[in-house]
Amino acid sequence: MAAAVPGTLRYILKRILCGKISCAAFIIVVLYLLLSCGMEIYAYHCAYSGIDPIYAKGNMSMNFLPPSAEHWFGTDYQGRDVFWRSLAGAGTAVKIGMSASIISAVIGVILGMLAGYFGKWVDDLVVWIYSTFASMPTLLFILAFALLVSKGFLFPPAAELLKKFANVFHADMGMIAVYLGIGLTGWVGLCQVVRAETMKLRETGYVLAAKSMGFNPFKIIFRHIMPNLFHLVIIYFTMRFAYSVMTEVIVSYLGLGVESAPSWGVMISDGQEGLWRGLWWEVTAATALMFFMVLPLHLLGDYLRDILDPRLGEN
Amino acid sequence: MSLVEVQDLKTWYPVKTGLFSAKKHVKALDGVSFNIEKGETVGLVGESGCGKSTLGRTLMCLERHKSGAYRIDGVDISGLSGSELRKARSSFQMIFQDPYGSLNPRMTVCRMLDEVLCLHTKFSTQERKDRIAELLKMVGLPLQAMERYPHQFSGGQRQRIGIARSLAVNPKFIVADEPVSALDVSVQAQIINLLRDIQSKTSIAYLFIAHDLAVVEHISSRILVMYLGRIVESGPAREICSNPLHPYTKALISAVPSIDPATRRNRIFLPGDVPSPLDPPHGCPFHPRCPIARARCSEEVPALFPADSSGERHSACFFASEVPAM
Repeated sequence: MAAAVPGTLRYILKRILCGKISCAAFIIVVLYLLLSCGMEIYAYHCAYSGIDPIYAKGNMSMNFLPPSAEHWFGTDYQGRDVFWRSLAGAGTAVKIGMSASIISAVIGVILGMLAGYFGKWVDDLVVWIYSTFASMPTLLFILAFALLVSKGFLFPPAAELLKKFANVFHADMGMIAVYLGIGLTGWVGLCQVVRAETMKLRETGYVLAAKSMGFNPFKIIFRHIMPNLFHLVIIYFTMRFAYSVMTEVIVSYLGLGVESAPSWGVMISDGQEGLWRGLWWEVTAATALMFFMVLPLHLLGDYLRDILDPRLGEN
Repeated sequence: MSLVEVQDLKTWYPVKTGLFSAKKHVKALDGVSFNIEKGETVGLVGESGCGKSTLGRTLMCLERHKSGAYRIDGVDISGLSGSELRKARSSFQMIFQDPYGSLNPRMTVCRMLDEVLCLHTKFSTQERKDRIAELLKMVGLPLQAMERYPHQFSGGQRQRIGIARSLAVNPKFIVADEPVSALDVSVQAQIINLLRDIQSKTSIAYLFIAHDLAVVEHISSRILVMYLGRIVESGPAREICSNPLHPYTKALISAVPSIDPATRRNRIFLPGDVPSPLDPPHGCPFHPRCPIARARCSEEVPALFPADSSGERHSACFFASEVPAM
């Protein structure tokens, strides 16, 4: 049995579980992931059997009930249970966090590696593209994109394609827009780091050796370079995840993202009207659940950076 | 026909010096020609920055050469590119200086070698496994090494893995770029003897790059001495070390430390530094530091002329006959 190689998944997991805070953060993140999986399966089940999911069942005579044994976090203006809605909101948040971070990571890593490895005009092109993206205000881009998609101002065939995607992913168009919007704006940081790291790795002995063995450039990039910069991807993925969740909340709060599915942003936007009347539970539930998801993600990201980024030194 | 034929090879790196100034070049290799025969070891010495490694990397097509040509085993490698070059690469390989950086930390030894065999042979899985075992045996590593990662080995063992990797494709010519300078002395000897054993079994030719003259003298049959991107002297190893015919070689050899006070050589101290290859001196590149330089040396570039009657020794010095008396 080989010992854990620094940087492999086994090594990372071992290090995470050794730290107290990182272990707690990791467990919370895993719980959120399991919760969202559960909610997603439940949503599919409800959609197939045609029943209303528990978080969408409203009873107008029971609206604005304060927290009680029956409704732990009270009810909202339609009499829906806030506890279940905020849990379902976690499902939406994780779904968006995951897909947006995956989109960013794929774009960032591929463009970064190509730019770093080939240099010359490929590098110039990639730098130009990411400078352009970096100079756009992110939130405005996402809002414009969400508006374009959800309000149907998009080129029809493209809109058709997105609709198909939306059906597959069991999401509405607004959500797909937010996935894409956050994903398309979030890759710049990772791309810069990956590009720099690839430039460094390009000159290391084993990449030169692979070159002199006669491997083709793509094999070198994916076999020899990518595994050796994957720690950066893991760090950035965690960080982007937290950021994507928050962005989703903001966009939904502004009324442009998620429409039909329960979302923390929508809950905060609904609940704020009742705040001055003392109806605090809806906003509190959504905010608290978001807080306890984003904080561990950030802590985990920081910890991963500490153990994986060689520039910070091994401690 | 020699196994390796290099003719007037030049590798220049473009340098941006300023917005409006003319484009300049670092002349890392400035017209190098030599041959290597089958099964021969040729040593390449010179101080840091003289272009030794650039020569090795250019021969491996890791750097683009500017002009000149080289043939390895009758194939004009300098004219190849893309997939043709990748196929031809199995006939020439390189051993790298840094045994810590030259192995992918995420791959086991077995995967590393298997990958190479997959690329260049049509062996079945079992044949590849046998070949890997054979290679490990050849470089003196136990079979258990197969499933281990590079960080589980010492420097010398890693260098053995690097050697096994370059031998995997049955090359005819290997460039060893300072293969022992990162290792400690006892391990150096083991690696050098390993390289010799392999040569006697497979008749591979080596271009052995080093800055340590003692090591080079031990392993090579011929030596090339480089200074500022050019070869300044070439000839049989023993004779070069006992009777150098270029003032630079003489100074280099006088700098080899000796522990025996009776045979302590007359140390020749060279004034100044190696000139910048961005701006090499006019005439002979060595003349600003040469103790026997004359007016002619700053005007003409000496070619590598035959320096003795046997025709084996060459020196790029106008006054080679005066060197022994220096």
